[in-house]
Amino acid sequence: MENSVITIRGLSKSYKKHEVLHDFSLDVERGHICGLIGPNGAGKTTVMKIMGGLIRQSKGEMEFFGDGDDLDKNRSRMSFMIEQPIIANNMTARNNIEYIRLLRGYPDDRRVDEILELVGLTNTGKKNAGKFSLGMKQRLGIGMALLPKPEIMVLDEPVNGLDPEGIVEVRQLIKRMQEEWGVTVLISSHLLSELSELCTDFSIISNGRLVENLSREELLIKCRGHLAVRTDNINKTAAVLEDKLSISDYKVIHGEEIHIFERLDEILRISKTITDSGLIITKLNEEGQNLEDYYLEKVGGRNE
Amino acid sequence: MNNLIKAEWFRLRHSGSSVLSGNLFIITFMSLAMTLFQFIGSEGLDISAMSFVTHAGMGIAMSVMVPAAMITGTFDSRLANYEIMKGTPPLQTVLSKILLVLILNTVFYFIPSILLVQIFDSGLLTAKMILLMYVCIAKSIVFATSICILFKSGVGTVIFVFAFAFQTMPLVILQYFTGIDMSAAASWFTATQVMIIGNQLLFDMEDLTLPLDGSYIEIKVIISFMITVAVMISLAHKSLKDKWEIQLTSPA
Repeated sequence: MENSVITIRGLSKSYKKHEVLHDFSLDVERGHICGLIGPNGAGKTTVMKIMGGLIRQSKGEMEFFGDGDDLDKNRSRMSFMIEQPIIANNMTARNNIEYIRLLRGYPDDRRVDEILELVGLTNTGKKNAGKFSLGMKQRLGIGMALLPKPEIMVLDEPVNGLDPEGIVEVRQLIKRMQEEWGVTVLISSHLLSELSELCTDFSIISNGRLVENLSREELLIKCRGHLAVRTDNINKTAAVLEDKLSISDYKVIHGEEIHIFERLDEILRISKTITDSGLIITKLNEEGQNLEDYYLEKVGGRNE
Repeated sequence: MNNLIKAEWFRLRHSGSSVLSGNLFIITFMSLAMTLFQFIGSEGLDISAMSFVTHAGMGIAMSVMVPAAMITGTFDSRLANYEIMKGTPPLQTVLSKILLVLILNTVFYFIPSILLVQIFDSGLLTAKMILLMYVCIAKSIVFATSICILFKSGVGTVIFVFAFAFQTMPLVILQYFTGIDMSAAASWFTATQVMIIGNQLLFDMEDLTLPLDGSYIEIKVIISFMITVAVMISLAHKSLKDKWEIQLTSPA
C-alpha cells in the first residue's frame, strides 16, 4: 500500500518448537485506526511486542513510515502501550508523565499538565500511581504514550478494566487523536463492539495466523443484510435457490444455514419455492451481522 | 544518552524513600562502616590507607551492588521497556546505565571513603592507589551492570557478588584437576587486585598463605579493566540488540 505507515510481511515467532505467530502480514495506512482482533493467545500482543522492539521475530520483515532499515529511529516517532500500562508505582501521576517527558526529550514541560488534563488525572495530587484503580492506571498509561505527540500509537487492550464511562472516554480520546492530530492507531481489544465503532480497518488473527485483513467498508459489505434460511436439507436448498430462483449471491454457513444476500424483498417467493420443492423450512429470518458475529464466524466460534 | 540519565535521575529522586534515600543510605554508611570495621579489626585501632584499600573489597561489592540493582531494576518493573520502545540504540542504554551507577558510586561511596581515609591517614594514600582503586571499582560496575542488563533484572547483582566473593574458586578447582599452579592468575581478578594495591607496602606477599603475585599490578588492573569493558559491554549490547530472552526471574 502506498500510504502505509506500518507494513508487516510474513512475521513469525517461535519459542523453541512452539510457533506463536505464523506468517502474519499487515498494512496500516496513515491516519487510520486498525483493530487487531483475536482470542486470547492469538498472537496480538506478540505482534505488538515485535513492533516495539521488545522481542525479535523468528522470520519476517517490518517497515515503519516506509523504512525498514532503521526501525529504532522510526520507533522514536511512535508510542506503545503493551500489556498492562507500565508505570512507576511509587511515583505520582505527574511524576510518571514527567519521567516520560524527560526520557523522550520533549522540551515543553507544560505538556505534562496538558496530558494530565487530557486523561483526567489532574486531581490525583500526591497519591502514588500504585494506589490507582485499574482504570486510572490505564488512563495514565495512555497519557504517557500520548506525551511525545507520536505519529503512530500501538495500544494493547487500552480499555481493559475501564468502567463504561471510561471506555467511552478512551474511545473519544482515540477518535480525537486520529481526527484532530492525524495519529495512526493500531489497537487490540476484546470489546469488539468498541472496535467496530472506532476502527477504519480490521485485522483478524487466530492461533497465531492471520485470518483476514479488511477495511471497514469491506466489513460492512460482508456484514450486510441477508436472509438466513435453515431447512432439513441445506445442499438441496442451495440447488433450489440456484436452479429455480437464479440466486447466486448466497453463502452456506457451517453447512447448516444459508445466507441469501440478494432479492431480500422477495421473501415470500423464496420461502414458497423452497417449500414447494419438498423441503421443510426450520428458520427464515431477515438479519444482518455485526463485527462480533463476523469475527466468530471467521475464527470458528468461541470454543475453537 | 543525556535524556536517559536525566529521566533515571528524576525517577530515583521521586520514587519515595524506599529507593533513593534508603538505598543511598545503605551505600554510603554501610559500605563505609563495613570498610572501617574491617580495617580497624585487622590493624587494631590504627586506621591506615593501605589497610583500607586491602579490605575495601566488601565495601566495593556493596557500593556497586546497590546502585546497579536500583538502576537496572527498571527491567523488573518494565520501565526499561520505554527506553527500548522509543528506539534508544542498545549501546546508549548500556552506557547510560553504567555511567549512572558510576556517578552514584563515586559520589556516595568512593569520594566519601577517600576523604575519610585522608582524614585518618593523609600521608599514605597515594595517587596511584586512588587511581587503581577507582579503575577496580569501575571494572566492577561494568561487570555488575552488564550482568543485570544481560539477564534483564536487578537480581543479576547477586551473580556479581558471588563472582566477586568466589572469583578465585574456579582457579582452585582448575589447579586441583590440572595440577598447574594457578595462583599467578588470581592477580587478574578484582578482589585480589584490591588486596594487592593495599598490601604492596604492608608486607611481603610471598609470606602469605596464598601468595599474591603483585608484579605489574598497574598493567594487570588496566588490561583486566579493558577486557571486562570489551567483553561485558559487548555481551550486554548484543543481548539488547538481538533481544536475548534470558531471565533470572519472571517479569513483573
